[in-house]
Amino acid sequence: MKTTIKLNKTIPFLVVLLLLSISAIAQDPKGNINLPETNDPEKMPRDISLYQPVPVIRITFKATKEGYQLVSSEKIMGAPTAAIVKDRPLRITAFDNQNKPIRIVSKANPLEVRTTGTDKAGFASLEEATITVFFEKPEQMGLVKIQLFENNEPVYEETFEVE
Amino acid sequence: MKLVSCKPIQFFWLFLSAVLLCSCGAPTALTTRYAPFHPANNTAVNFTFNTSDNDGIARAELYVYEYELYVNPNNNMRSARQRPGGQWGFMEDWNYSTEPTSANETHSFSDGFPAESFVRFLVRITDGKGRKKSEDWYFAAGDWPYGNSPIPILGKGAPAKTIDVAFVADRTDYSSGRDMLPDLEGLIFDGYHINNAIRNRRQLWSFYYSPQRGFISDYDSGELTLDIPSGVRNSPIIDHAAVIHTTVKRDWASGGNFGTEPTNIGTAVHESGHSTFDLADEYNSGNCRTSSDPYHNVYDSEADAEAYNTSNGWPASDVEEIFSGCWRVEPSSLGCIMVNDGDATMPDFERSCFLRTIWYYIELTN
Repeated sequence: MKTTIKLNKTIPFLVVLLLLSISAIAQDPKGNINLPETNDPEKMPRDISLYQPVPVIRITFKATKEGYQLVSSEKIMGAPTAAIVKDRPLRITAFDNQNKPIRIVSKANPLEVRTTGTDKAGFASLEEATITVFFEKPEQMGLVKIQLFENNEPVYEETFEVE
Repeated sequence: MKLVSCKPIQFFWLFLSAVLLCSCGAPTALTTRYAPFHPANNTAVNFTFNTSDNDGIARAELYVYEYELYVNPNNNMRSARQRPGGQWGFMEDWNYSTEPTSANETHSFSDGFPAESFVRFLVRITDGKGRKKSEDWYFAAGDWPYGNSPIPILGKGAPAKTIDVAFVADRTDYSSGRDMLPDLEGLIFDGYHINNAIRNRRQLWSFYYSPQRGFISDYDSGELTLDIPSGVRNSPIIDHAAVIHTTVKRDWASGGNFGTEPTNIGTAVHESGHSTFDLADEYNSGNCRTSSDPYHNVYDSEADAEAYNTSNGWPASDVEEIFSGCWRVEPSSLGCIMVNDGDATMPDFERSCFLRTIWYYIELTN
């Protein structure tokens, strides 16, 4: 890590440093998350699941410049969409039967196109796109709200009932 | 890490951190790989390791475990169980009486693996002081029994706790998904795995390929088509996909998926920096948005960028205008991969971007 750091304040830096330290120290034990410890070759498990699916609802939307349409919702076995980053432009909120938000998934604007790499930047828009998300606990699901943000301000919002 | 100025209490914390980080002794460096990816039925597989340790390398061991894929009738889960009569455990060892400080070996398993195999391999190094370090991976081998679902070519953790990337062969250049596989070895082992924000956490990245091909159009063609096969698009475990092509195209990204040549390792990791960490472009892209919280790299407000730097102990004066109305928090002279992707080279994630990746990994593994 070739980093130049000029220290102006103590506490924020300590927090960052602590974060780095915890991360480095925790690296090895985290390596075997959800898989049996394999450092001992004699203890390799003899029967494993490739992954452990849970009941989810798969919801597919069609996006156009006019808005979003719910295309399908299906209860399957799978894995919920990662919800670590919560402030991407497209935010999809799942509500339970009592209209309480239970999970927010955020995604890139599916209609937005940008060139890759860092040369000759270009932007365009697709006429339409589909987007699929997976929410766990489908039996508790009532509504799904889809919101599109620009500059962190909502510019579109629609709510759908899912079954 | 170069420190320009530091207060006594900060030195204390730095010292404490250094002690903590060094308390386990000098680490053994170890990387492992195998080839070919997704070996065909009964095709020889090469297992390779590269290791170094200032205390010398005393012994290296290779263990290989052969599973057969099946669907567990009790829970309907895709599973793998030890194959009766298959390879299980110790395969090869190397003993170094001179205890060299580095070693690089390859073992060829000529029998390969039959259809519907799932393989885990583990390399364990014992250094001159008796300390052990190991690395293990899994991959699929032989005919894949699960239709068009993404096929694991290198992974370790459970999908919910890893970043899962699927490669899709562009039908312009490849006759099948398998046809693309030789090009992925360099992209993963000499690309993703050498990046500074990935190499020490490479076990948190899992790679797959699609048996179905796809397509991405050239941005300059006037047509925008990104065809991600349904097996990937509808997969509940894939986080983002990359369409791989060898014909030079002006590539583009949409919805977290992108296209790239397999040799453009920096471009691929830069794009994964968007798709995974949601970092913003630090070059003049002509479209500014404040990057994701926490650990930003771009703001649409200079005052916000300066306040961010100040609150993180970095000089407010480091903020640079990218273009009118858009500011990066770290100077371009640091050379972050989000400023310049390096194309076929591999720039680092720098300062604030690097902290963003660490934050993401912590969230992922919590």
